[in-house]
Amino acid sequence: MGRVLLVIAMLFASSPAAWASTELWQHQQWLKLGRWEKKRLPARYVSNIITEDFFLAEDGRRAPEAELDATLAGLVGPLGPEPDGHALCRYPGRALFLDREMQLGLPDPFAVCPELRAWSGNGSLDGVSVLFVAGYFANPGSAFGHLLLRLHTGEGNVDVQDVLDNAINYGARQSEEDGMIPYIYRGLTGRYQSTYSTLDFYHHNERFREEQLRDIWQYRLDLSDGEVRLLSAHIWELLRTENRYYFLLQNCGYRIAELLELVIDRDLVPHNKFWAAPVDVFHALGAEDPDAGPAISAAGRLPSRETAYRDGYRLLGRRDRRLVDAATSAPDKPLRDVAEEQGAELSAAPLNVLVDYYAFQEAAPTVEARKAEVLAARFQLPPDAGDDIPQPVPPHEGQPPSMLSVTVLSNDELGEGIELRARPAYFDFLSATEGTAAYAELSMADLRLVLREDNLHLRQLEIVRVASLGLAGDGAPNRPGLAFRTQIGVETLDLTCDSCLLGYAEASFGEAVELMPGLAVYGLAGGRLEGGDQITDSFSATAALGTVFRGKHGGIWLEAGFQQGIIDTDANEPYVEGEIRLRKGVQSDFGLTVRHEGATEIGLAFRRYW
Amino acid sequence: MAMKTVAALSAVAMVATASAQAQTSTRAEPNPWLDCGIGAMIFPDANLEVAAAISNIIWDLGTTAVTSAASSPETCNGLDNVTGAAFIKRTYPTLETELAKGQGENLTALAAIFEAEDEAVFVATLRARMAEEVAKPEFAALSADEKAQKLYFAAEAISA
Repeated sequence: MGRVLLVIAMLFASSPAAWASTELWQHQQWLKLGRWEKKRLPARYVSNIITEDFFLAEDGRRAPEAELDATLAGLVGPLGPEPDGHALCRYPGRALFLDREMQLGLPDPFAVCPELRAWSGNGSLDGVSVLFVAGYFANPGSAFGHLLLRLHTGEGNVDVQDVLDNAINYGARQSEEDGMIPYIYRGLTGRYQSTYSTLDFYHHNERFREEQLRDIWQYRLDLSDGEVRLLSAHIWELLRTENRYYFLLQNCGYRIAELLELVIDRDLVPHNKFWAAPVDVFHALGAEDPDAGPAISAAGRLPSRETAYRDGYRLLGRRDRRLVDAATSAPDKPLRDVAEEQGAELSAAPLNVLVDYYAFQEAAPTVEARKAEVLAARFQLPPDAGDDIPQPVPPHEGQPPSMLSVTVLSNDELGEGIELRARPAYFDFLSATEGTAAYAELSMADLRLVLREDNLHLRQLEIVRVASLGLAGDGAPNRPGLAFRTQIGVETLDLTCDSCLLGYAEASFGEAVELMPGLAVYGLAGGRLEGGDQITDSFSATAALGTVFRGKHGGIWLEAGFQQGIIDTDANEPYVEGEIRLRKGVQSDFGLTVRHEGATEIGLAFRRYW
Repeated sequence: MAMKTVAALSAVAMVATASAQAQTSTRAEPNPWLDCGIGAMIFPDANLEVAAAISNIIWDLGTTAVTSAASSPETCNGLDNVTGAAFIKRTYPTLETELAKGQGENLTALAAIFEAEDEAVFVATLRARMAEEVAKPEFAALSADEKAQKLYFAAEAISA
C-alpha cells in the first residue's frame, strides 16, 4: 500500500490538476468501468462482474477505491518486451480514463499493445453501432430480438459497411444445450454465466440475415473519437469477464445498455422495469433529450435475404412479378419458356429477385436445378444490384413495447366494471410496433384484473402468447408455411363469472391469406388443455376464423370460434371477440372491444405505451 | 467449453490435414479444404460461446497451415489462404448472390482479404470466372463446399 501511495504521490506531483481528483474513484465513469453498483442494505459497492481476476486489488470487486489504487500502480510499471500482459493493455479503458482525468502521460494503449491494436483494426476504428436483430419465434430466447455492437473500421467513410468489422455479442454460456423448460428455469433464476464475445461481423451477418432470415437494424452512435476509443477499450477489458445471466432483466439488452452508458449520458438501462426488452434500448437512445443531445447519428435496416426478396418483388412491374410467380411455381419448366409464356424478358430486375428467392429455399433437386438456371441467366447480364429500397420506419419510432390500459366494461350478466391491464411486452395484431413481424402477436405476463362492485378479481394472467399468420404483409409474396398460435396462462371460465379461474394451454395451426395490403383472414384449429374446479372436460378441440385489418391510424380484429370437449361432447362453447382500435401517435390508443363467451361484454379501452 | 471446442475442432482439422497429406502428393496446388481442415470446420450456430471461440479456431487452423507449410511446403501457402478460404466457406451463399448481381459488401471484403489492388477489376474477373462454372451442367449437383472451393481457387488465381 505504501508503494502505491508513493507512486500516486509521484504521479500527482507531476500533475497539479490531478490533485483535485482525490475522490476520483467515485467518478461515474470509474464506477461504470468496474461495473460497481451501490447496494443499499448494507450500503456498499459490489461489481456485477463475477470474475475475480478481473480485479487487481484483493477485494477489488467490492472496493472501487482500492481498485483504482491498484490500477494506478499497475499502469506505471515498465511495459517490457511482452506488453499484452501489462495493466495498460489489460485495462486500456481504465488507462484512458485515468490518463484523461489525471493527465498521467500514459502511452496510447491502441498504439503499444499488439493484441489490442490488431483487434481494433490497427487504428482504423472510427465508429460504433448498436444492432437490433429482429425477433425469432423459432427460439424462445430470441423471440424478443437480440442486440449486438459493431465496431466500424470504415476509415472515416460511414457509408462503408465492412463485414470484417468486429461485432460484440453478449449471451449466456451453454444455454443452447438446454431444452426449453430448463432454459426458462435457469434463465429466470440466474443459473447461467454470461460473457461478452468478439467475432468478425460476417459470422453474425450470415447466421442472422442469411440463415435465420432476420432483419438487423443498425444504429450508428453519435460519438466523438475519444468516446469510440474509450468504449472499445472498455469492451476489450470485458472480453475476459463473466456476469450472471437473467432472462428477464440482466440480459443482452441490459448489459449492452450498461456498456453504452459509459459514453452516453442517458439512462439506457431500464431502471423503471423489472424486465428489459432489447428494443427498449433503442427507444431510450432515440428519445428526445435536450440535455444530452442526439445519441444516434444514423439508423438503417440491413435486410434479411427474405426481406430483400420481398422488397425486390414489390418494386417489380406486373409482368416481371408474373414471371417470378411462374418461375417459382413451375420449377420443372425451363426458365426461358416461362419468360416467353409470360411475355417477359429475363432482365436483371426479376432475375435479382429470383436469385434472392433461391438463396433461402431449402435444398432439393428441383430447387437446385432452378437456382443454377437462374444464376446462369443472371451471370450473363451486366452487374446491376437494382434500385435502392426506401428505408422503413426504424423500431425506435414505433410503439414502445410495454402497455398499461384501463377499460370500462359493460357485461350483460355481471354489470359494469373496470378492467386494469398490464402487458410488459410486446405486441399484438393491431400494435404499431416497428421492426416486428407483420400479422403476429408476442406477449409475456399479460395481466388483467377486473374491478366490479368494489371487488378486485384476477381475470387473466397469460404467461406467454405467440401467434403468427405467416404473412409478410404489404402485398408481398408469402413464405409457404402454417399460421399458428400458442398460449398458456390462467383465466376465468367465461364472461359469466369473475371468480372461476382455470389454467390453460392451447396450440392451434392453420392458414391465412392476405386479401389486400393490410387485410388478412385466417383459420386456426387445434387443441386446448384446461385444469380447474369448473372444468367438465380437460381436453378440447378448438377452431377459429378471424380477420385482421391494419391501417395507418388503427385497425380492426375480429375472431369467432368454438371449443368442443373431446370426452364430454356436450361441453362446447362458442365465442366471438374483436376490437376496433384508433391510435393517437405511438404512445397511446383507444379501443372499442366486444366479446361474447357465455355473456356479452362491450368495453372502451384507453392504453398507454412506454 | 470454449477451449474444449477449439481443441476438438483443431483435432478434427489436424485429422483432416493428416488424411489429406497422402493426397497432396498428386495435386499441384494447395487446397485449404483438404490441407488445412477448412472442410471440417464448424461455424458457430446458436451457441454464442462457440461464436466467441471461432476467431481462435481460425487462428488454430492458421497455425496448422503454417506447421504444414513448414513440414511440407507444397501443402499450404500460409495464413492468407486459410483466412480467405474460411471466409468463403462461411459466406459462400451470400457471395454467390452478390457475384450474380455484380456487387456487395462480402465481395468488397473478399477483395480486401485477397489483397486485390483494384476491387472492381477483381470482382469483374471473379464474376466472369464463376459465370463459366455456373453455366456448366454439373454445377447444380455440386455441394456448397465444392462450389465454395471453386470460388476460392478462382479468387486465388486472380490474386496470384
